[in-house]
Amino acid sequence: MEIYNVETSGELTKITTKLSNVLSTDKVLLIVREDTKTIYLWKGLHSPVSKKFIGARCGQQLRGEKGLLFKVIPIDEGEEPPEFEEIKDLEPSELSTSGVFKKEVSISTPSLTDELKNLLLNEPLAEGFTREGIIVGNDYYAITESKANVLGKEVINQEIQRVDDLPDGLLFDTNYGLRIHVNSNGKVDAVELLKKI
Amino acid sequence: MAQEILDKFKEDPPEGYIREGIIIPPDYYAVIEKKTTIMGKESVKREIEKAENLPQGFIFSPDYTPRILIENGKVVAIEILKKK
Repeated sequence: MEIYNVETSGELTKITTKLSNVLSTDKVLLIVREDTKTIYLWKGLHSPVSKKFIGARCGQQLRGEKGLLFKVIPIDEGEEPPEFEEIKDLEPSELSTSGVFKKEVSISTPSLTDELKNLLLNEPLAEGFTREGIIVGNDYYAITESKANVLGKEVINQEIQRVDDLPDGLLFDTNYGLRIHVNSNGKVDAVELLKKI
Repeated sequence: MAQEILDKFKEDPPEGYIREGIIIPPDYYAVIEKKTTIMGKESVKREIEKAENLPQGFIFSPDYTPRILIENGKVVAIEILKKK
């Protein structure tokens, strides 16, 4: 059995603990059960709608990776079927892989988890700088702003999305600075690209 | 693998900047200056070494600019450049 947490960035983080430990109402999880060829899309009651959509898309991608014999079963929190209850307290390794997979699912790690994203976004930037992107591992996440007018009031929505088609080569511009975040293991887990304003 | 990437930064940094380090996520490689004196003559050798035990938290200074190396659409390394 494999358990993945769906991040709002569209990435999946592999969970190595019991399912019952991570069933949180704000989460969307994908649970792959090899023995019954089932991928459960579990949606927490208070998980954002955007995450539910992303989860549905990721579920189909996982199905594409695992094999078309797998079926994706959406489950809303509180409406779990009996067979789902059976696996809640099993360790992910307890339902082993049947060996029918042709390839591993490509899960990029490290990724911009919701926890890391909140940490970065909640730390105020130095005056005179605006955040343009975040590098986590080998991935670049762009910050996109969309503006809309609602009854004359400007509503700004900020989203962070992974960019997959960066131009190859060396990128250098003197109008940019950077801020580094180092985790508790002494490793760089994020580099924010800051534009001078 | 890391050495292959570091070798791509053998050329001098852009004019007006000095290289202080290179991030090959999640590792930080610091440029270390080794000074030796032979009969009053100073010789400076620069080497790049992986830095361990970086202080946890945010690190920021307005005097630094990044130069990013991208290959196959992915970020391979981030060079940390300091204004001279």
